[in-house]
Amino acid sequence: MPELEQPTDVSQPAVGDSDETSGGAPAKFLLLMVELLLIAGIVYVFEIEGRRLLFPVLCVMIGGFAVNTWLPTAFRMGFFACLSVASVFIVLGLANGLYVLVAGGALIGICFLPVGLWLRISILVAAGIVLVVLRSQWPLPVWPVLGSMFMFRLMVYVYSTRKGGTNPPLTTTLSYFFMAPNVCFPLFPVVDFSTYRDSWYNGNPWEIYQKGIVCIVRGLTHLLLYRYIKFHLVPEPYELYDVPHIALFMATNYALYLHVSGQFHLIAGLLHLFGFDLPRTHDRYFLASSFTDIWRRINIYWKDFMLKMFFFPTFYSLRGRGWKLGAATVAGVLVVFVSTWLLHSWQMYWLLGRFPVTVSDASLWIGVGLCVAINALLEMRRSRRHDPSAWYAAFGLSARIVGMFAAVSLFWACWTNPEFLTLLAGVLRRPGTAQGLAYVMLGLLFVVVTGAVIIRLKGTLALRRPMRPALSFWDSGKLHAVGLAAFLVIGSPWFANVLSSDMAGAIAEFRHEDAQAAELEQLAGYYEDLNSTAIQAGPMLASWSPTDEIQRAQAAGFDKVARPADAAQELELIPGARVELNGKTTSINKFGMRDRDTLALNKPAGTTRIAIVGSSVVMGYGVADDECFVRVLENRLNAQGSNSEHYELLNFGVGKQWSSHRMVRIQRKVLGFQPDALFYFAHQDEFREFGNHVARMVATDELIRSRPIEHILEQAQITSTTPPGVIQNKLSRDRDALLAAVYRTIVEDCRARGILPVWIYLPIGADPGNLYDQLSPIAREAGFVVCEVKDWAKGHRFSELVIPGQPHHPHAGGHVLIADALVKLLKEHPEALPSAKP
Amino acid sequence: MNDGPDFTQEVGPRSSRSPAEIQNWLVGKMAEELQIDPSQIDIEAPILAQGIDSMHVVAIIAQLEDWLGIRFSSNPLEDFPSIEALSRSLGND
Repeated sequence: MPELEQPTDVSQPAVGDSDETSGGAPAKFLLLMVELLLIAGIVYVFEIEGRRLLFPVLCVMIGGFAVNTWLPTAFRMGFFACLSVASVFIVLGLANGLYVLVAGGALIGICFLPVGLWLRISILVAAGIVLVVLRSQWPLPVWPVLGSMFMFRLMVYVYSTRKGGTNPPLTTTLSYFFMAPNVCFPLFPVVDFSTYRDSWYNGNPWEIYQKGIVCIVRGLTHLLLYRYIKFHLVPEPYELYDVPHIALFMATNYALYLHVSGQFHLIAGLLHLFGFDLPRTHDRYFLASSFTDIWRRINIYWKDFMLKMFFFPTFYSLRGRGWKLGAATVAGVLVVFVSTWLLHSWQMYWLLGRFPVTVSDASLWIGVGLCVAINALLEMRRSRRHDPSAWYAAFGLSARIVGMFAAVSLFWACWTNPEFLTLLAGVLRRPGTAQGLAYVMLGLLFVVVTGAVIIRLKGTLALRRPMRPALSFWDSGKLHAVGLAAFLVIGSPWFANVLSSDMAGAIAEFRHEDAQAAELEQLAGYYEDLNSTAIQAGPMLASWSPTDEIQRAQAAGFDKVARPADAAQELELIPGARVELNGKTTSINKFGMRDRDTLALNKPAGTTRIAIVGSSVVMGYGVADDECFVRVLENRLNAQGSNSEHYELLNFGVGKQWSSHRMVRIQRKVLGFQPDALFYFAHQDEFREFGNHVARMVATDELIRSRPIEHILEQAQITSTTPPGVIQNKLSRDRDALLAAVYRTIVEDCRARGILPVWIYLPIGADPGNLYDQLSPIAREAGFVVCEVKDWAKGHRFSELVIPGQPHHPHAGGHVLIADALVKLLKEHPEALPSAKP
Repeated sequence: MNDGPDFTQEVGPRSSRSPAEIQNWLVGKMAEELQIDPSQIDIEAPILAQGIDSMHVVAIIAQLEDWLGIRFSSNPLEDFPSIEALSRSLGND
């Protein structure tokens, strides 16, 4: 039976009430409200966690805080429980909210049954199995929310209350399970029930509230850093062909965990506003110096959960059976890591509906478990020793931190990207690896030395100045209020008028990046996947929750698979997109190509690669993935050759782009795939727009890696400060020369890497101007092998070969004809086909 | 609280240490591990909340077992998280 709620129960505050009625309380409340409103302003302006509906939920919680603060303490836990339940309905709506409440209420009800512990656990397991089956049969939007509330907390709750004769108060239990911010953060920290209950108003309330503000600010900082890293530092998949880019990927991929730590700090901070003085969730985990250190710094709540539920029971059970300290420790740690591996899949099941269990994941987690166990044994046995030199100690610590960061980055890359080791091995076999490795090692050495200097300086300062006392409520409050206000002003759209257009543009872009990129996520990984689903809001918050489906419905045609890019590309295919165009499936792989998901950046041995660059026709607009002429041609080439010959045709076609875009795409994306030949497809629109695009690149000071184009710009005395209109006028005077410069750049880039450059003219529809005669000399002069597929539609009326309503896009039959014509062309022009590798 | 805890099993002659002796022993070990003055150790606060790593706590508890001649069959800090509570539960008044 539940314990009666009494003012003297453990849920009641022990100290601090007198302070609330002192003369300073209204002023303190006012300062806290100012800080919270500034935080809400930043969340709104920067659209932080918009898909999680953070802003409306934050407003509800700020309102709740204002009421909670002035309530008698006896009512506060009940109020927080009501607010938590209400937030479920506010976010999910009545129907979905009821599902969560009824299912959750039933599980809580089982915990309160007046039967023995094991019978209660058996009933809970049976109920869990029923819910697991229901979750697999009916993919309702409520499962992630219900799952995140109960999948771990139920275990903790039952374990923590197993010994007590009475259940905790119902309000404490309800608020624990339905904890207010949980409804918009399915990825939620595993808050320990004992800590939750015992930390409630365990100190001065105003200090707890201010600690919450500090936590929230820390969380927002992590989330904004995460956004910057994700959109500006993580290299694209097609860039991962050399050691520096691989190193950058490893570091930034690990740094994306800031998303999780940011959310957890934010959640812990919000709970502080209701009196829960919870411990820190993450503690400077990038500075961990050993395997045990990273385990104790990263996701501290998870570590405590694992210790409580798995390590200590295993350890003491084995010790009780006579196991030695070391053996019991190793066994306990291994049980923890195997459990961590399986529980991550359990979490993924509830949040995303799949339960991945792979050998590679198991090996990784057990491998890390062994490292932690060995590290723990060494630390247990190692006596504390003082290094003779402070500099030696500083260098040692700095090197250990850098080494640990590199080790965790490697683990993270392997965990989040199962193909990473294969990719790394392929990159290490490429020419120029030694130079890249040298750069990376020099970079690491620089970081170690800088770190050692900082550690040494910090040590010297600590010796000179005794430890600073923690900031008082007022100092901390005022400092944060000023900082938040300054940040909000600088980031707000109204301040843009004061800034230069570049700066204002960059800030505006940063403000909206998260929402824009949310359309389709290109980064794969455990936590990125878990955070990829938007909360499906009920009617009250529907306008705050533009789901992917609504966004897709607003887009049409090509816009469904393309998104804006920088000035050099202007448009790019969305990695991972899979949509219906003209009733046919159009899939874009992780490299942003209309190609297979299985494609690897490193060229497989014995394969001849041909990169196909061109327009929406090459991309296969309106035909299915395997109907595009690139795929058909690849099949034809492989079918007609001997078994030892294997061609791989890579489709780099993108619609709504011109020759200058293709030049940039070749430099950025194509060359990393090590093609043996490049087929550049031109149509009747080859002169169209590209001059204006080059002008836009120059005007925006976009780096153009082209000596021939730079030469033209110098001759025409064009610089980035030249007015855009003047640039366009000057460049349009000699479009042949500009196109020749684009072609020469492509050929030079190909020849420098031993790639055969082939220019193929593929007319689409009528060609009264016979553009081939104008273009082919330019292409030949630039150094291309020049070919024309002029009669591919012979014997047909062209209008019969295109998709209805799409006069420039052949249908599947048209693509077959193009492929057949290309096979014939390559037989007539053997110089255009690189010999297949045995 | 002073009754013999049910999470231990004896592996040798039962120790006749008093709560004060056990408390001093634990404070000394904690101070040594944390490299601080024993007076700075809070005997009423949870041991795991004093900045000491859980693995080191496990090692200290193992040493405590040897010193007292007992063997815990479950985590003693779950029911007696502070030095004071643990000492009182294990001491022989």
